[in-house]
Amino acid sequence: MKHLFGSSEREVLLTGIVSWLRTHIDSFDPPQEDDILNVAPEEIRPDKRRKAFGELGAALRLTMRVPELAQNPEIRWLINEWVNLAKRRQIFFDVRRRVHLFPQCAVAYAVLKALGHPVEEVGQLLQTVLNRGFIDRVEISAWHKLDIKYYLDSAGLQHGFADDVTLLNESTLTRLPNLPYATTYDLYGLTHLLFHFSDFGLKDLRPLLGRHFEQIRRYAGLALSMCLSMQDWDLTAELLMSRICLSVSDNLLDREAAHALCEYQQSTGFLPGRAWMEGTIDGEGARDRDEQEFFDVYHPTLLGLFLICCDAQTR
Amino acid sequence: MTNAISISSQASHKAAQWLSYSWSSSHNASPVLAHGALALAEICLALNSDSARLVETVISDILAEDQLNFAVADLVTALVSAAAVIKAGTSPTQSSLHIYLELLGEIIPLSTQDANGVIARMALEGVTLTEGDASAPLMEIDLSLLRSGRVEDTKRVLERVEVETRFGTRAVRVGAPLPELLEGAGIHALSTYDLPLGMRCLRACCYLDGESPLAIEADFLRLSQCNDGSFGDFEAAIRKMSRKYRQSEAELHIKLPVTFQSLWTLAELEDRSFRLFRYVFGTHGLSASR
Repeated sequence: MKHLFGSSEREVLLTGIVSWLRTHIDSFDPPQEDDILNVAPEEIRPDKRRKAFGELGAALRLTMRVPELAQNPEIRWLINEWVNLAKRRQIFFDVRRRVHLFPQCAVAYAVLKALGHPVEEVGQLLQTVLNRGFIDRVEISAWHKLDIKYYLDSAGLQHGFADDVTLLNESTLTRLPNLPYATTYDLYGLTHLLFHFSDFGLKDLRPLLGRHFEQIRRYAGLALSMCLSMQDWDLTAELLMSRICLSVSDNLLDREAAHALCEYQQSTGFLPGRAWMEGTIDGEGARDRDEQEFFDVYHPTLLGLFLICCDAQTR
Repeated sequence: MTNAISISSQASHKAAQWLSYSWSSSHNASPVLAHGALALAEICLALNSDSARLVETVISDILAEDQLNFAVADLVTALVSAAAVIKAGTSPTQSSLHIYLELLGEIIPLSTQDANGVIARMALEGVTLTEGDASAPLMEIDLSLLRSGRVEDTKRVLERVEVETRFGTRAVRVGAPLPELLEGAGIHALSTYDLPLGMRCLRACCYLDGESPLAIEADFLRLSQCNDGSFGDFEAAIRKMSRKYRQSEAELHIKLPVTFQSLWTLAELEDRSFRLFRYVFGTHGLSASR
């Protein structure tokens, strides 16, 4: 199987992304959880800073699967910083009552375990919350159930979410929305289901998807070409990863999309988000603008790292 | 193409019913609308011969009014409406048509390098099909044009495809992923309800890749047909336009071109041997038909 990126293309993309992440590590800094004492714990909601921090961790977790990346000194630096931030910010503080933070705490716990920094007492806290019988019994979509289930399984926690076949049948994968009407939200549903059912490309999806497999592959390809036309680099990267999860290889459309991502990587290393592409980042003052830009571009940039990992680990 | 059970055939019969009703409700319609109505009548006849009775009344009404002015319509509409006029036989309009066709070669350079030139040449000289084989010319296009975010770049690619393939009547060889990228651009256009651009992309996909099913897109078009037979959901646009025109006229202005293009696209998507310009201009062109 050929790699999605040429070796020099991949080198430039990776170096740029890692450099940008290093420069912006402070922007991923989550709130000091044990300082938030004047809000009822049950009312504390996940915010964009916590989300960005968790997603950085999830991307770093995946680098551990690729020996070359796991040994990369810049990535080692990022991992150390992430672990230190997690400890310093007390991210699991009061988790038994901060129920809205549970999904992000589960991701962070799984990440710490994968990075070689398990926190056993947190595992017990999370398991107690799960045993209380509500986290896995809420009315949410199959996509969101699978998102949580994937990291609970990865962390070795016991839960009552349905098995993959049941979640598949509850999901849109067996009845995808017609593409001209599909929203970006629908497409994120598609990509996340594929990431987590396939463990980011490690598991062959054919046995699970059965007769739907080919149709989903074609749909993901069409969605990818549509997102290229839209210049939506966030979804382009997500769909490229999905195609890897669907065992697509040596495909010229995918190569073209990968090439486009490299072409649109900016000199400081980030991949542009939708607002950046539309030129609608217009905060008051440089600080505000920088923050807006960070929250627009960090996600596609992290996806670039996810994509490099998926591409490397499955070939 | 007169298969009465095909999707485009059924759709065209419904569209003919809409045309017949809408035209009879409009009064003193402008030449632009008259050409649009004639072009739609012509394609309805092409796709379903059972529509003859419905559209012939429209054609004879328009010709009797002698309101045509070929220069005001866009080139495709003018030439397809010209075919309808020629088929209708003697009418006062024939002389203005004669002048228009004579001038056409002078107004539009019969260049094979731009789409209007190709259409004009096919109209005047006729259309022959060139089957594909290994010796077919290889078409190479800068793919980055389809992800530049500029509609004009997409249109540049479309024009190249239309010119190189002579609107699907000449086979070319093309490499992946151009057809997939064009299909993506088409779906993107449909998703933003830019129907003319979306349909143009889909026809170009057909010209490049005779095998691609384009089923999602065909469904989109089929389900864009309204109960009255016209295509497209434009209630707000028609209401807005009604401030300037009568309601019936506003509807014709918006829906005639979209309905024409929808039938054209559906037919070419459904039957890959059908090419509108080959049907309309024949193998000898409009000049020979007069």
